[in-house]
Amino acid sequence: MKINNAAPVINNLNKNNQSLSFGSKGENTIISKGKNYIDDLFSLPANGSMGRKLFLLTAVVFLLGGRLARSRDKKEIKSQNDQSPTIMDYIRNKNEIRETLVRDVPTIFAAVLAVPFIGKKVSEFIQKQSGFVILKNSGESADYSTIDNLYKYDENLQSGLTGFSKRLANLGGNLKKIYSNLNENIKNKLANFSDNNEKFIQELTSNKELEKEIVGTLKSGKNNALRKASFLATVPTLIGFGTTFGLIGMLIPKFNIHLTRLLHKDDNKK
Amino acid sequence: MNVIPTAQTKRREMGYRNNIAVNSSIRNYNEMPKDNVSFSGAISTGTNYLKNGLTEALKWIKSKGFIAEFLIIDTFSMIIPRICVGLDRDRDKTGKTNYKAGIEEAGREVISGPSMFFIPMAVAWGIRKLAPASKILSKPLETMSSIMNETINNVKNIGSLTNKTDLDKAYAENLFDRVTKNFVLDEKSSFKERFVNLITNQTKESSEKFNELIAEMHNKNKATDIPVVELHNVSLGKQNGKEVILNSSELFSNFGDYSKDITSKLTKQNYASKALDACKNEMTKIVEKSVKSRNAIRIATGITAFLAIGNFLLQLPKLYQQGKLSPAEESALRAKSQKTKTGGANEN
Repeated sequence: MKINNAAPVINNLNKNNQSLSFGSKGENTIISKGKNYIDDLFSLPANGSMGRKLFLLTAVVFLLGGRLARSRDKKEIKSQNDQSPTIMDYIRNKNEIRETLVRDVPTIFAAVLAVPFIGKKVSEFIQKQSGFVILKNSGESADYSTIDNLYKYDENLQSGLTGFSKRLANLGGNLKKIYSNLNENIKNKLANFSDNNEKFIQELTSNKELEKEIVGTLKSGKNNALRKASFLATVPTLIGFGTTFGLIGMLIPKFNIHLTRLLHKDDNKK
Repeated sequence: MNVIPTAQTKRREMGYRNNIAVNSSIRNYNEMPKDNVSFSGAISTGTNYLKNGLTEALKWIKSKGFIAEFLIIDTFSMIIPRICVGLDRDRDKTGKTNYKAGIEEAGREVISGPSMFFIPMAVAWGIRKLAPASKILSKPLETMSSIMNETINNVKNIGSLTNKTDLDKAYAENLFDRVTKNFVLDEKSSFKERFVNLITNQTKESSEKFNELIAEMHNKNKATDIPVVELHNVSLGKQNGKEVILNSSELFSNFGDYSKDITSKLTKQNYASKALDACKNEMTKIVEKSVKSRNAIRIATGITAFLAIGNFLLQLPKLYQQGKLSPAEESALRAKSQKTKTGGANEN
């Protein structure tokens, strides 16, 4: 028995009217975006430690905020010229606050954000120069398990060497350079192959013996392409660490001490 | 002339002479360094060891994620240099090591760095003991719950609904179907059996074998002609328009947490006198309620950890501040007094 005086019209209106929903069905309202952002920010990963964003927020609010709030600087501001205090006087007098801002703020940002940022930039450069794939599709540096997957030839692989090559080509690798690194023999045989990935794959499929040799080397323990790719993936992180150590350990503290002396050298000039 | 490898030539290749193992520490003959007498060979093997060592060390750091990276940066670029710089502060003016500044730097850095990780880990550990499913992130939790609802609705007899092992097994089978929805595999049923056996047996060994199984399924998948890049990622389908992708070890531990928490809750209810449909209704309601509650607990964990560390960091200066004047103030005073001591052209 059909009941015709139910209210489907109102239900349909509710469905189409996006501002009434609270975004839990995936619509892009501000509330849903805000909810997703909070969710992302405060969801701790599997091992329980904080992610980068939450860590940065905690450090800025509590570490730096705490240092600023408990600074031992004097409340009164002495001006150098016997006039009302200027901004420079403020900067000169609030020593601990100034130190926290000049030294600690750049330090925290560098400690959290520098290594991935530098790693990404250096990886892009290395990938272009060497032809080896060390970046993921999303643009971040690849983990070692990704590098393993990319450069090891699993015997179960259904799509064969062609599929293996296409995967490397899609991520921006240069197949000629990658395979030439396997050994001298293969390098010589590949000398006349094209630099263009598509043509390279076509030329390789017509040379079954060379394909077999490449697959054999990729499967063996002496996979030099994997070794080189692993090492190349290490370099950006090393450079990232080195730069961060130099910046946080030497440059910023020395600059801070120098600035303090500079600001106070004229203190007794009258 | 074709030389057929005899047992003797094979053993010679492996490093045996007259059946006695020579250089038995070198397992693979092919990997023996060619030139270990000449100087240039020593340098190249040396750099090879260095390269391998560095790669292994950085592999380990990257596998541990942000926590290892930050603690290393903290130790080498903040704790050690700041203590040295603090000890040296104004040494040219006072001629002495500035122990006060050094101790303050040490206290501040050594305590604040690692505690920012260990406090949230402790908070998370405590809360996750009580509600394991709060470890699962939002989208995977919702997807896994919708798969559980499907499983419940497909069950034919009430006995399976109240037995945890049966429900786990049925759930795992549904999970497999979801994960391999777009896969084309020979002998899919044998993969299904392995999948279900491994995921319902929550041990470390089983976890590693599970990861290998996922990689094997990806490699043997005939559906694409370009193999996937991430061999350990599985897709649970779309939730609210976005695809939910998990690492195989995440899926494994999420299943364990879900089973410990929610599946246990479901099968502990007393359904003895109820009809099948009524049971299914009640269980589905429990699943939906638990999604909301675990989402809330997860965010509450994060906020609690945030406030716990915050409070600790605010109290921290009381621990390391050594006196009324900060090292910065003292340095400023010294810079001032230096000028008056030297005298000369600036004095009127």
